[in-house]
Amino acid sequence: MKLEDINKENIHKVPEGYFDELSQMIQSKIADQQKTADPVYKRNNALRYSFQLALPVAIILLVVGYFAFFKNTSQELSPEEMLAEVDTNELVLYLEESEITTEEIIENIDLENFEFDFNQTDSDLIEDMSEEELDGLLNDYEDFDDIL
Amino acid sequence: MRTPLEDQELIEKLGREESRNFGFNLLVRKYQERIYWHVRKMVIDHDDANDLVQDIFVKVYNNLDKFRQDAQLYTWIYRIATNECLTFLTRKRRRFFLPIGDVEGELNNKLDSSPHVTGDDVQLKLQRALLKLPDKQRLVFNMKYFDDMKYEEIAEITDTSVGALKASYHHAVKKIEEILSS
Repeated sequence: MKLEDINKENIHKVPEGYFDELSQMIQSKIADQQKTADPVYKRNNALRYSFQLALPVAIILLVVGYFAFFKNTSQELSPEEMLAEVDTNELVLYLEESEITTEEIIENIDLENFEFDFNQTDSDLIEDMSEEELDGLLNDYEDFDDIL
Repeated sequence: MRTPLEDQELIEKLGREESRNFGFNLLVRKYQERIYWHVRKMVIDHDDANDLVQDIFVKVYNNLDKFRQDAQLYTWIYRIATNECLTFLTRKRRRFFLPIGDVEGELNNKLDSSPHVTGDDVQLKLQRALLKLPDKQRLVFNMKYFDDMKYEEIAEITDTSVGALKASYHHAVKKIEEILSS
């Protein structure tokens, strides 16, 4: 088939009245463009945008601040300080019922920071103990020589 | 080349602040249909063509100060329209990462489904054959075959030599006739 055998026909159509309205649409687009370029419009738009943005930003800051405060509060105490807040009897009960051995406890003592009182004798130690503590100690050890 | 009187009158009105908008209105009314069909043949879809034509004339308005009177007014407008069409089609491919074939497929679908497309089978077959051409070659073909423009005018619009345009058009015709005959 040759091209010259085909009628030159425009198969595309437009909606009725389109070209009557097109110039108006173009003028509107140009007017909108000039409006957005206007400094007063830009300033008002920026202010409007700022107010719209202020609320979500404030909410985000509140949430972040809450978690930051909460996180800081919970991390205020050191592990030693947290342990110090636990009742001594509860600690003893825990150690008795746990499977932790004496050797494991000794291994985990930070001996570098442990303050030894080298002047204190065993007798001094016993003298500081109450009757009940002494009885408990005697029950644990068969040979008194282990204590003294 | 002597500028036609009508265009000269338009240029004078566009050059004065007080008559610029009036002159631009006259310009739009004079060239809107030619530019619309130039665009529509490339993008097929009316809505796309409508958006592009508006953008084209806004660009014309914004660049009136840059119009050098060494070219004819309509050549200059056509050049803006041509560039916008090619940019639109290139962006379409890039945006959806479509290979050339898929854009052709999409434009073919618009031919089939658009309420603003009529024509018999042969006409539709011709349109489909045109969609197989590269964009620039299709553009040249449209300007020569449908708009009956001179090679010299097309050369000014596309910034291509007359010889290259003749070769491109001849090749396009051969390709289309092969498709139509198949």
